Amino acid sequence: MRPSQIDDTAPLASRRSLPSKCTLLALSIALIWMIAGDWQIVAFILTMVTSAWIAIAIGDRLLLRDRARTIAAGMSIAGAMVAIIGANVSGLLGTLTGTAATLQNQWPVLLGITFYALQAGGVASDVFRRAIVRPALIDYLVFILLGFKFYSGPLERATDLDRIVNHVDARTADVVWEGFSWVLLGVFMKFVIANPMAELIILNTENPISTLAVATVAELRIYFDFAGYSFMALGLARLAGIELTNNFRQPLFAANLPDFWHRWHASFGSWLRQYIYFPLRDAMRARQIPTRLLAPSVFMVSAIWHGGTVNFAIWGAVHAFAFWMFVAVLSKRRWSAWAAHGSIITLLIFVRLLYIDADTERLFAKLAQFVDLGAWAAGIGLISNITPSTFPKSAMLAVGLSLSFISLEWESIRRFGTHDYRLFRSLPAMVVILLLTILFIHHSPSAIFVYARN
Amino acid sequence: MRAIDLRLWFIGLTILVFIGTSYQNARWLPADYDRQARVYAQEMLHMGDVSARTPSPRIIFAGGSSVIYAIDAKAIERDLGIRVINMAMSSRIGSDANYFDYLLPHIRKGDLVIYNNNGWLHKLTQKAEANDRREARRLADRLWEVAQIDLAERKHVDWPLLLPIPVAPVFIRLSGREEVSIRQRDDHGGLVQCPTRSVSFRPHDVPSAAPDRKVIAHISEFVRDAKSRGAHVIFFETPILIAAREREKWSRYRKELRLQLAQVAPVLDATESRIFRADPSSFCDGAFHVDDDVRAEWSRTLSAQLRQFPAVITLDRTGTGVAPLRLGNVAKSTHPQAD
Repeated sequence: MRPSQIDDTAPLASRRSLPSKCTLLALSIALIWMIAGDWQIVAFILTMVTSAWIAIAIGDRLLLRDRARTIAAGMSIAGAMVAIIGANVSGLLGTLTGTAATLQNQWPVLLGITFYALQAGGVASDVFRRAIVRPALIDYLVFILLGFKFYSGPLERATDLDRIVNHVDARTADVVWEGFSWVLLGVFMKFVIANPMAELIILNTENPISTLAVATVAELRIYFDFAGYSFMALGLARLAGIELTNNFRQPLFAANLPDFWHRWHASFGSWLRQYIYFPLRDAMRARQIPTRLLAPSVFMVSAIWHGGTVNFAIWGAVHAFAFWMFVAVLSKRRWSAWAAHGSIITLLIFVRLLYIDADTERLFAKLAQFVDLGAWAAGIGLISNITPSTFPKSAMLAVGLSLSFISLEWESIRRFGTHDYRLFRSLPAMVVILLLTILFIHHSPSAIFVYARN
Repeated sequence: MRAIDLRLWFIGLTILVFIGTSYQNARWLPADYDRQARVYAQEMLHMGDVSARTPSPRIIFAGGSSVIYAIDAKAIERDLGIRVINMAMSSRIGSDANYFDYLLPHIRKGDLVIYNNNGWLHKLTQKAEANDRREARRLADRLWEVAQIDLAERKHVDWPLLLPIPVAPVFIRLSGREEVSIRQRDDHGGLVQCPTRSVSFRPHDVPSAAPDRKVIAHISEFVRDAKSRGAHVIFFETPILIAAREREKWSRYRKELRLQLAQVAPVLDATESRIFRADPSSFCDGAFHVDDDVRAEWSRTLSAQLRQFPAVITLDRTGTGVAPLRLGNVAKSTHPQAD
């Protein structure tokens, strides 16, 4: 009998039965097949994930000494990260995100492999460190392949495996409503707001005003797109009685930079902390090595994980520097809330400018425009030429909706004191969201998926 | 309790609404295909008029959207003193496989066809095209098969939802979608208005494999037919924005394509032209207008190249016939007519 890590005495919860797990796994495999469109890819993924489990099982049996297990735990994470970063830098994947992703259309599921690899690495690490007991194959497969996550996260920690796989919340009206409201909110954010904005993300800008405007729209689009499908995943899992990590918790209203990273793609941040930052920090402290530069280094790892191009390296470096600046200098001073939000949003727009353009030559040319007065003048001149027909109607409507949405996010925080989009998930708001969705749901051909595609 | 009931009623209503709208969207799928085919047909008719009004001999630019954007037929006509029309057509669903069938009847004795193959045009065979359309129609009746269909243009079906979501939102459909393709072309077939500001800005993916034999065969057949009508055909390239990390792959693909095309007809050596290094981002300004200065510059450069090209120099401007084609700076070694 394996020790359970969940509180079995919690009300309205039960253990998931084996048939239920098999159903979940079958559903997950079916979803992967529908996305991949090819049984060979499904077979490849299953082989890869199962092989990892066999390796974990063998290692768990053979490695007896704690030191050997600690090394194996580190190697599991390092191996997964090196494989993905190698795929990025070598050009096999190019970039996981951004507008210059080189992934071929027929292999979007490769992205899933990066997430599967990190999760499998996490399981291996935790098993070897004895943080969890080695999961049964069915539990492990359900955890890694859980279809609701659409192969793009949330990237759960292996210490939550038992809770996610075995713990089933009773489908009360509250739970059903919670799941449903997340799904509808996600559909609205992804298909009504994010998709049409793709048309405005033009990389060949020739003046700093256009460049900043595009970076602002890109920031909005990525937020609504990524948060949108994260909420769909969250909601669908909730309807199945599973509680996944909420990847987005109104990050644009973060109080400071570390707070922002707890609210934006939170599961990945949590994964990086648990499997890279904390083990390295503990090891360095044990050897009395200063850890001041460790957090910025993890930012660089995260950046190269996102993409193997120069812009991602610069993007990571700027984030690392900003994070270091905050921790070392800025956190020691008192900031008004507005100044904090303003500085975070300014930073986000600037780094998004770096993030979206993998063409190094063009990116540097755009940065050079910022010190060119003539380019600023040209930008101001361009503003005066803008007419109602300058931009596509759908895209402008989406920008308007996104700004209204963000204003209401502020109202939601003010009224409820939480960062869970509660205002949007109330019944009256859902009625409005449903109507807007029916009217404006829109598929932009170039906005299939913010990860890997333009 | 009442609040809970209301929420559950709302969930039920939403599910029904989504099933209804997705069914309607599925019914719109073939309509989207038909609309594109209709727009394409209108554009074809317009270009047919342009061709009918322009007596031979003349230069006919042919190809895909790159040619529409990069080539200012009027400017080249002024520069060379030869009649020039631009009969390129954007690649669309239902169009690729039929482009040569549309173009061929317009080619007459004495014409010089300058054709650009960008690697994406004609990637669909007529059979595949027919399959696409049939699949799209089938969707209307069998909604749940949507996820299984491997459409070449899978743009109507978004991931991860299995609901067919239309390209045009309902509110645009209700307000009427403007057909702008004819308005975009001038009396020489050139582009006068960009369809959207962002068109042509996105980097293209390089075709994943070597040039398709069927595509080359298709082009060869077209060249043979054009020659049998007394016309000359040469190939050229237009600027295409390629994703930075794919440039090497693109270079290899292009080299291979050029080698294969040179077996069929001369290939204009374009590498020295500024056209092919220029940034296509300047095609359209913020108000959807074509940037005439940039295009004029490209056209001037192309004119200068064509002026050096014997087939153009010796093109009989009186319309009584075509002087023998002499090969200059074209791929002599690989062209079957090289002497």
